Amino acid sequence: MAERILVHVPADLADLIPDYLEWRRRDLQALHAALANDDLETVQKIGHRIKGTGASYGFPPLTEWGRALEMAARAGQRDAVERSLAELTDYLERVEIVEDTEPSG
Amino acid sequence: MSILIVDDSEDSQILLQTILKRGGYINLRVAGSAQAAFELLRLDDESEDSSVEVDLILMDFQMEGMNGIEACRHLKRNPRLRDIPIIMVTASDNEENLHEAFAAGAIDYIHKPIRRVELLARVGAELKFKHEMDQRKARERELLEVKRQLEEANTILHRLSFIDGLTGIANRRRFDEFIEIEWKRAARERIPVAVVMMDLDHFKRYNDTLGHEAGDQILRRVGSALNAALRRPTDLAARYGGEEFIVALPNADEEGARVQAERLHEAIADLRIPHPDSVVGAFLTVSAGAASAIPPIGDSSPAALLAAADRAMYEAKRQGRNRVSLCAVEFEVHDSD
Repeated sequence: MAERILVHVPADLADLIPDYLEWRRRDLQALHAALANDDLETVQKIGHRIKGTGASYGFPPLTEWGRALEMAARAGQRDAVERSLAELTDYLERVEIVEDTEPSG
Repeated sequence: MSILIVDDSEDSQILLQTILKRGGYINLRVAGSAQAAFELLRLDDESEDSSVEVDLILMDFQMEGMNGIEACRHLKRNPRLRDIPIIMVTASDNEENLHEAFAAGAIDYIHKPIRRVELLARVGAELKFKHEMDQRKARERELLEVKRQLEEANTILHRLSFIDGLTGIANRRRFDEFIEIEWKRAARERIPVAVVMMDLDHFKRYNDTLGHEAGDQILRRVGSALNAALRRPTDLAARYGGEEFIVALPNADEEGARVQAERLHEAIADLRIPHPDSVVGAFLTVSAGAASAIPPIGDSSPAALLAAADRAMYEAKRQGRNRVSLCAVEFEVHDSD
């Protein structure tokens, strides 16, 4: 079994995180579907959305992959999109949240 | 205090709402696009009285459709909405973009990733500022209203300060100002100006016999009668002292002054106010002195004119009262050498 990635999230936002991650997993399906249809515009949009929220919710790597997806899709680099999508999928499969007792900074 | 969140990402909306709500801001509104925000704020509603219940806007920088900067520009062009502070929320590090945001009228910006403490601190600061601005504006409106009331009161006071409290006609202050202006006008236009000075005959005896109350009543009737006897709208009747009255007659020569003085004298006689202790007759009478002059060339004051009318009035008294007398005006000759 793949190693888990533990992410600490602030207690005052912890209740938002499961939903947030669930929506990102649905993004994965949408991204795969878009890629299958060669719809890089949708990839770009979803990438942009993930970029805009990942770090704010406590997941800086999500913002990075969001940025990578957005840029690769805009540049029409299918290979790069596939690579980032694979990494993003792996991350979302392994990530687990640990609730901090202190509120976020 | 109400905050409007403008963001096209549902995840961002949820996050911002959650942080703000838990920070104590419960009055939140959300728009998923610039257009939705405009509709919520009724941007196109021109009427002045459509109230805006939003105290702060959190505007996402990059949105589908119209972006945050353009939306900011639109809001700042609307007089009704331009005072709502706008904080831009941006993931961009591009200095150019920040510059653009401020140029468009944003008051501050918050960087993504959103940090709770930073968001609450900036929102708190802007709302406090907005609150203070609103209060100041309200105070300014109050001050303007007070100023308006003061001006109104001043106008009334000004008018009152020119009216003799007992008789309701002009007072001496008003007369002095009036004759000064008319004298200057006469000097410019080379036309005469006249005054008639009048004193009630044996008024002290009337007062002593019938009491001050009755005396005051007489003064009021005399004032009204003199005022009513004026022939031209430019003439002015005033109470000059205790039982002394004066009338200014712009553009009246000596003959005109004499005729008007006779008319005023007659107006008082026509009142037929019984005077139980007058040596002159059974009714109240006046002694009147008239004078008229064309102001001399150069600097001069109406003092000589008033002195002449005064002399004429005493001459009328001396001759037995209840009559009109005229006196020539003597100007002091200034030797220019």
